[in-house]
Amino acid sequence: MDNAKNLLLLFERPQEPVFLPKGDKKKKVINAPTEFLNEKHKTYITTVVSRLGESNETVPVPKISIPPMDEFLVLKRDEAFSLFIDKHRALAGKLINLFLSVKTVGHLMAVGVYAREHLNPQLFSYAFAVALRHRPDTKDLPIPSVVHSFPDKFVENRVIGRAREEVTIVPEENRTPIEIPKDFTASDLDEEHRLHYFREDIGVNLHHWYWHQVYPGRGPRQVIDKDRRGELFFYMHQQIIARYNCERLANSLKRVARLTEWSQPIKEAYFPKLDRLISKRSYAGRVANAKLQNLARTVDDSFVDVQQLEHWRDTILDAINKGVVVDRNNREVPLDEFGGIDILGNIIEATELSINPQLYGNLHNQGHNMISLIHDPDHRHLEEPGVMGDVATAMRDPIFYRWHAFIDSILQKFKATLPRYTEAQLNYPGIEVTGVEISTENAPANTLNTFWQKSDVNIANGLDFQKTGDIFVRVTHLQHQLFTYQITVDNASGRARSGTCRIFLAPKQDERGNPWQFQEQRTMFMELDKFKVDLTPGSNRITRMSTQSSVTIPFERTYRDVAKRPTDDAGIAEWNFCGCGWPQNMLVPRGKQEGMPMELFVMISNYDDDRVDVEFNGRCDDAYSFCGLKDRLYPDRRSMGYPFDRQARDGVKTLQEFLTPNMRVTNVNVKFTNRVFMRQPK
Amino acid sequence: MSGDKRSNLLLLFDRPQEPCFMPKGDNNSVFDVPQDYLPEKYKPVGQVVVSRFGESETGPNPKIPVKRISVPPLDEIQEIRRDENFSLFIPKHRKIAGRLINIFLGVKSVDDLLSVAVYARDRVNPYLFNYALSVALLHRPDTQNLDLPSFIHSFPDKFVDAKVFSEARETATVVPQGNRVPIEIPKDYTASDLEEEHRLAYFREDIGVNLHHWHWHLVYPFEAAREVVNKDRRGELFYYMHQQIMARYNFERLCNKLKRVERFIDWKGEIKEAYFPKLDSQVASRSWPARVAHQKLSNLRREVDQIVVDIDDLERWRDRIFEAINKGVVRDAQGNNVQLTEFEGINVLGNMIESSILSPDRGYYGDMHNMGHVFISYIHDPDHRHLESFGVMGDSTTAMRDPIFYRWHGYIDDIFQKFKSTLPRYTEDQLGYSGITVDEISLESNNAKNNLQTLWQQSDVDLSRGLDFQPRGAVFVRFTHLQHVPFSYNIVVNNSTGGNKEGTCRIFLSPKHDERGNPWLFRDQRNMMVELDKFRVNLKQGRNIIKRASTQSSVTIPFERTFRDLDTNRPTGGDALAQFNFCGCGWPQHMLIPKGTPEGMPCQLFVMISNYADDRVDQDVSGICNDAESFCGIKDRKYPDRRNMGYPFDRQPRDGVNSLQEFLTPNMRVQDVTIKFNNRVFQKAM
Repeated sequence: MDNAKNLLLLFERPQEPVFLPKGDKKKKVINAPTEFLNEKHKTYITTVVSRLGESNETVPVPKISIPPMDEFLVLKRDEAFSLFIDKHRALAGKLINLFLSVKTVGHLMAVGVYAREHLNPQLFSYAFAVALRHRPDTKDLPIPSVVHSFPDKFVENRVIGRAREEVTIVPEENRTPIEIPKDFTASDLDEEHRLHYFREDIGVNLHHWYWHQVYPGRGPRQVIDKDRRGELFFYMHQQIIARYNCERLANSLKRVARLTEWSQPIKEAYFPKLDRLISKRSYAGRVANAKLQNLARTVDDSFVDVQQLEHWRDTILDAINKGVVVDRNNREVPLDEFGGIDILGNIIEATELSINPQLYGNLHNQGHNMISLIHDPDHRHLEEPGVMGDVATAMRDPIFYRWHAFIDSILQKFKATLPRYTEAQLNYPGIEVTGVEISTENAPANTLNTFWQKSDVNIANGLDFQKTGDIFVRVTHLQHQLFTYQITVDNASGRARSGTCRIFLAPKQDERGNPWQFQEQRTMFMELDKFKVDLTPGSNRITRMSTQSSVTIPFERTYRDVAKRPTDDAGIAEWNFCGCGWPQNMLVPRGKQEGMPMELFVMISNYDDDRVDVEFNGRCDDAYSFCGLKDRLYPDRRSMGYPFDRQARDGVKTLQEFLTPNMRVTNVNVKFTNRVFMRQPK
Repeated sequence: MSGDKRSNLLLLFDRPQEPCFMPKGDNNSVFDVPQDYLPEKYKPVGQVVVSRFGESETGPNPKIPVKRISVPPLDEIQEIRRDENFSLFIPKHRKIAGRLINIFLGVKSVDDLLSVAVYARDRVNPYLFNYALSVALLHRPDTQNLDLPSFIHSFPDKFVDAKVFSEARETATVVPQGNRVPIEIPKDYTASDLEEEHRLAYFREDIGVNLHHWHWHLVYPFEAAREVVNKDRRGELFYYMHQQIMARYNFERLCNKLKRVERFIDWKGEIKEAYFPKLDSQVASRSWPARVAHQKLSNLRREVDQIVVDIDDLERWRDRIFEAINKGVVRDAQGNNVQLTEFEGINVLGNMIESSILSPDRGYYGDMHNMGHVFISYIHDPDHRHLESFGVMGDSTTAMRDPIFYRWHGYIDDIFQKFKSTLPRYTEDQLGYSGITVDEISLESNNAKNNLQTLWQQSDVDLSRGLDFQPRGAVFVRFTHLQHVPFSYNIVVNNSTGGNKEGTCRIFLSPKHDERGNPWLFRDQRNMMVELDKFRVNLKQGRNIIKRASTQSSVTIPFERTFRDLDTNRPTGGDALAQFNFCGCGWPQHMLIPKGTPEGMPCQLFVMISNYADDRVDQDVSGICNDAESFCGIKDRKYPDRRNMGYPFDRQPRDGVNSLQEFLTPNMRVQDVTIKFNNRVFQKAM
């Protein structure tokens, strides 16, 4: 395992030659055979290594024969890498395969060293991380957060400049964190800027990046073909839109308008102010009222017309309305009640699991591409994609939500064709939720408190070619006061029962201040938690902490830094998790200063209908609602989003009418304090 | 030099973002900064950092004493933050720059100037500091012979592909000095041949061309103390220098099968040209904003820059300027009428259109040319809602990179030409020089006659002085630029006046055909005439043979001067040092000759000998910055040619003249020449 841990050194300072010191306090030197090095680095390795002295620990690299990697060189080292571009995805898929096929950890180190020296750093980092995650002999390694290797994708460029200054001038012990201003991408003149704290949250973007790393669209079958991944694509993004819309209402903005008119100007502009440290090309801004253009970019093999996109959309809607898709062999496959959404998710995203890529095309990905290349559709200006072309940055752009609202609307069209849940499918006879309350310290019952918080993140590992030592940036992000759910459940069935407790939150009113129609409100429900409960006969009192949520991962995990990991066994086990998961600090929407009325929905469903025989083993299982369980089945047999994933049964117009006795709704108030609090170090 | 002390001032240009207490120059000098001069953020760690940088491996670093004097407050100056971009086109910025220049000019001694500059350097915006100190050093009597390092050494980010900086960082950090190889900037990095306008990238993005433009505006600021601004015929020179840029650009366009540039006249229509500069501002840590295709100007509402101006304002200014031209009269701020005279009118108009503080009435005629730059540079964020800075058009060091620069200046030039059309035509008397005939002219280079040869050349520049917060040592960047084989003019002049005469030899070059391949009408061709040289000749009786080398040109400065460095190659004293003592203003020598075409571009070489009695300006011009006088004038002297700039092509021809041939008087001659472009890259011989 110790050997395996050295593999993680390859994520550090992705642009530096591999033989420069790595690790905490820079004590490890990877002793790479000269033949493995980039030509450019060979010329000076001897001088550099002799300069380093003897005090370092050497990491051996076996001299083995390296599989050919020439095909990966088509992506130059300083080019931008995008998972939305077919050509890049194909390369990444092959490279993951190559890493997976290496026999031993020792050999993987050699192949990794060679690849890192020669290939595009982002391609390498992505493929290597996916491979480590999926190899039996490395899958438990704590892969460092991408924010440490590529801070340029998450923090504004100015901060990087200041970091270089601070590191050069100020000795480590005297350094102070570099503050990132809360509003750096735009001002309040831009209405959309009100949502920047959500769109530009580092944790939110990290989640999105990790989700796509856990669920790659291309690669070896065993890596991409995960249980219900198409459905999870639908659900995780549906939940993002629900959360975004809730934040919009909190900011007196209407729900997001779907991007449906593809030949009309896009009114939202976005200027990311991020710079790629590798290519020194900034992520291009998009000016207001830009229009999509047909793509004809030889460099990425991207040739797609707006018309083509429309055709794919129509073909998919055709399939939805017919209830049948056609597979690669021209056989009809019905879109059934449970499996249909999974098939559609893979078709629309589109992944290698698409049942017929030729027919249904590549709608979601090409939409990202077309938007991200709107400024240079034929590459005449040698420009690289904007933020929409990178899963680590796409969620920063207001257009992301317009595009995904459109994608979601297609999938909702399918959901609307499904049989409605009957009362029998919703109810849990004998079980009644008799009380639901949220308690927050020093606050009235059913109040959620939100505020700004400042936290520090170490970006030293992303500052290539710079003196070492910690350097922190200070980010301001949304946070909420910890709270607990108090739920009382009456079990009148006369015996012990099990249930799944499902907790959702939605705004109480629509844009006009009117109560919702159920059909609207159901898409606004944000999942807060989902967990199994055992119910004794009679009254049961369930207490659950907000931090236990099945959608989030703790703050420290979002930003985890491998160098700071614990050294004892228990600590390491604790540390051993995935980075996928909604950031804990964003669990509760911001709400309003005067308080935003919301409805908290709690349901206890019948565990017999929910159960999936799968073991929770404490590894990567705490954000399973959004990320599933690593290497195991999705731990809830119901369709994702249940009970809100379908239209309501006849006669149900409001949430109240929807309720069966095993459900309950409580009014809560989300109160936002517009002040900044410093995070207390643990 | 009398002042080692004075040259310490120049160290302030080194690594503009690194504080004064960090090593500067080749011998790692550190300024001995008084504790209370330290910028606020370093005061708490003052002792630590000062002692940290007080010595290097070879021992203690030489200290430059800094006298502690009381320093004027800089609060106003600091309204431009350190990490903002600085633009002379933004009125707020130029006002602040004017104040800082005045502070630097007002300081009594060189020692005190050093103190004030050290104090200011780590507090004010680095671009602003560089600009204001440069202007002050150029204009203070006690420092004006100091020779400023080329701007590219302080701010290479304004001139070279941003990519270079990540490579440079790598080189400076890990590659030992002996193993370093120059970092190559690809010739085509801003666009590809899919973009027609990209054919001109070698001109627009030439480092020397942009340095020239910056330096010109440094020598001729349009806002500062009056004695700094009010230089002889500066308004006219604004017109002429930019007119010549347009002539050269159009010449290059024809070489590249593109039509002459279209004036940017429809301010409410779409601008079809896109431009993606791919430059990064190291100070602002922001890339230079791009302009996508088909953008439209918007009214500006940028509180941060104190700019609130409508397109309608621009149109009003334009209309008032046209009215003045048509009436031949402008009004001044007091409401008095001022005639636009035959010789001075163009100077008044130049100051009015640019505008400079010499404008007769800035309130009435506005700030047309500058604001056009501002409108275009903020096209992507006109109300600052996206907190975006200006594009390349907002900075005179980068503006010439953008195709729209030429469309805007095409428009500006057209206004001047409208005025020139109202002037009396030159009569044969005003053009001729009786008794003087030019009998023969030819060009000679590499044994080829009347055939100019152009090629690509690669040259290296050391950029390490602009690489803040990185280890020391030279880091060379290799870029590719146009070059031509040096040549000489042979001019045979017959003097039949019976006495010795003096004349001014004026040499111009123009394409022979228009876009259609037709011969030019004179009225079009006159705007295409590119000045190559202008010099005084003595003509004895009878036949005179004049030989002149291309490198002697009155519009250019040598390659080395364009890129001159602080220490490298600096002679140590005597004549050599005097030689080195020059200004950086001037068209880069390597761009003297347009690119031509591989098959040979037919051109016309025009030579004229004018009567020196009508040209002469009496002054002593020995030894001072006078080798690019046609474009830059002469430092602290009058413009050395009494004729209107551009003479004899600055006006419409006399009646009956439709072609260049018909225009000629005996003291002029035209010779067909070709420019043949060799599409290969040659290394510069060291």
